[in-house]
Amino acid sequence: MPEHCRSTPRDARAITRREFVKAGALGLGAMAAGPGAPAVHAQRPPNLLLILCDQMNLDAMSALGQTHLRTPNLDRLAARGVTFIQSHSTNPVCSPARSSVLTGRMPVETGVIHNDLPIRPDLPNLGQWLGDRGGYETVYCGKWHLPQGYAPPGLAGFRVLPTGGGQGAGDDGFVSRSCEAYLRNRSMNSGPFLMVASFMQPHDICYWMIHPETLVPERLPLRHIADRLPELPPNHASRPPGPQRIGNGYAGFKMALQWRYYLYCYYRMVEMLDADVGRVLDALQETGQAENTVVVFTSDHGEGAGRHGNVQKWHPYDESMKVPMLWSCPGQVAEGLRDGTHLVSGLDVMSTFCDYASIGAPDGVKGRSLRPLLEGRQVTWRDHLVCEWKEQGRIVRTERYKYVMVEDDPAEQLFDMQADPWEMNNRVAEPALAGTVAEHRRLLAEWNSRMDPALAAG
Amino acid sequence: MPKTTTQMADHFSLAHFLGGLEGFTPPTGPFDPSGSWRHGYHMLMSVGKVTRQGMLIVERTPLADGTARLQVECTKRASGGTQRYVARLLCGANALSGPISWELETYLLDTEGKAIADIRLEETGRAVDGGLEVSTGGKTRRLVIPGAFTLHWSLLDAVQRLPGDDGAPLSFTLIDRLNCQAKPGHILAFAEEATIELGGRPVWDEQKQELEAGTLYRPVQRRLGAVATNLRCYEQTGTGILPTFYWVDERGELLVVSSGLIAYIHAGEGGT
Repeated sequence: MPEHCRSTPRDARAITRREFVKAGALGLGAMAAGPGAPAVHAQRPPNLLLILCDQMNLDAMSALGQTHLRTPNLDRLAARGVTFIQSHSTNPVCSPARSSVLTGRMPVETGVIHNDLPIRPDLPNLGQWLGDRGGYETVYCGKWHLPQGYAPPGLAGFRVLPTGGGQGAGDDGFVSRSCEAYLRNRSMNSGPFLMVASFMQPHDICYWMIHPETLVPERLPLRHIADRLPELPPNHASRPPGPQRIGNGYAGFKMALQWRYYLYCYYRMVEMLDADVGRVLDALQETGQAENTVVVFTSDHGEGAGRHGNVQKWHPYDESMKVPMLWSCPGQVAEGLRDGTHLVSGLDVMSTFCDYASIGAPDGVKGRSLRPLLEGRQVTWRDHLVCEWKEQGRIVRTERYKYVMVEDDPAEQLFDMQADPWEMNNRVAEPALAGTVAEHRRLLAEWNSRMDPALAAG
Repeated sequence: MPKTTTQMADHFSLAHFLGGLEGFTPPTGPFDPSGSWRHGYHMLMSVGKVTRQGMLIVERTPLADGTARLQVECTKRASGGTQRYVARLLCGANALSGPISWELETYLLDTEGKAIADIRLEETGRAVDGGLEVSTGGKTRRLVIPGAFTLHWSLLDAVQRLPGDDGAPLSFTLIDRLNCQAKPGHILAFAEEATIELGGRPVWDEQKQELEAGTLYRPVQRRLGAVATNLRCYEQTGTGILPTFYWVDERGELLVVSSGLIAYIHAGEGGT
């Protein structure tokens, strides 16, 4: 984990497992007496707002110390709630990760093991479940990709606000406008709502290499931004040995300056996203609904961002796997806390929403409610997390290690994430760590035995 | 800065949009950037292939006191409907055409062309001392902005009156899409003059070359019907936008704006 994601910012209070245990031992009331702690529970089920973006790195926000961009709206979400640092994509590509966020199931279970597949029809999505069981008014606006690119009319479980047909720079402004309009126009006497505001940015970076040959320094608009280009990450040249499917970095950029301009543009796309998130948050705030709305902001997956010489996603490295996950709700979620300990993923959104809606989660969900963590209650949490990559690939993340494998390749990886947060030193072959590797293999086998694969289920 | 002659494909701000400029004909005749005019722009998206996403129409009416009214209509196709913005801006008599006040309507049309009632917004805004004040649905919010600021739609007007390479860069805060989100640290500056062959369609031709061994015919691509056009380019950089390029012809008319995957290409008065 990059240092800026581990340090404590000026405006946030980092929280450790010990603090959570202590808070739980004292009880929520004691926690509530302190600064930033939740105070009271609302009587009515809260509104639920999922703000989903596409291809955003965990650390691409100024609240986490990133100095190459400005994200005032994500920062205010972070200041008002809990920021998870050990937050993972279930599979670092759009459709699979989104299928998990929407169902609480792993991609191998939803059947969405690569892009452009539909969710297995017998699994309810958030809209179907919270609409039917929780009486929520359910609204979806923006990117869908399961399999249609944008949410189509007639989408099961949701009223769809039409949008789309393009990419983030052309469409996200309309998504935020439509979400804003819905929030401002709805009657305050209506029942609770579930809204999914699904933005494309910063995914536009995927198309930044259409003409890499034109991105030569003498043609770039560098006169006024030369001193603002981000430096290359420390693991830019690192290519740890491992399964072949990881690939060997992107070869389209020949010069450091091209990479640095790429990063500059990526961060501008995150800023575009931030402005649209701000519009939705402003509407929530100004209509008085923020006080009773649980907001979660997350991304389907990360972005290579030059780390390990990568662009885009699909990689088992943290630049692809780690995603932002910010939760807030005044009075119900602790404020300004950074949780650097608990392993969470998009799987947990369904269970958490159901918990706040006071309904049970669908049978078979693999996620857990984050509510105890969000409220600072004592809870025994998972000690490992399994993620998928490139269909047959799997990752086991424990507190200290990350184990990477792919079914048809004997090469494996093991990284000590505490000593080597940039994942530069594959230690899988070290005899002293043979037991650790074996234990991670065992955890994976156990996890696989609990899956309900879509294909096996027919 | 010396003027260069180049193909669209050679300039990285235009190369992505070659397909979108096929058949493009630069406007001719008298044009007064400070007068009354109406421009239509195709909204293009380039993700390998170029597609038309919608239309932007900007109409300017100068007022006696040096200010101007801008009417902006933006229509974009959506999955299951159409999205529209209609804005009426009063812009100041300054280099950035900064806003004095505006009215904005945004709405969604369903597949039958009917506005979806609860997805309609009406907003008004005005410049106040030190920032902006925006009212939506009876709620008013204020945005503090130190220094100069403008809107991206205002810049479509303003760049047409900017000087060439003797002009100093303009520094300002951008209020993008009237969304009341300040994007500070913007610079708009003259970048270059160039003669660029705009429009046309790609055709393959042969280039004859006499060698000792005989005559060699090499295949070369040309653009049939392309029009060599003298252009000035201004570039804008700053937070929350990708570097943006405004291409203005010798008469001062804005022909192309490109920014990352998006471009706006002049389309007459936008009647189609």
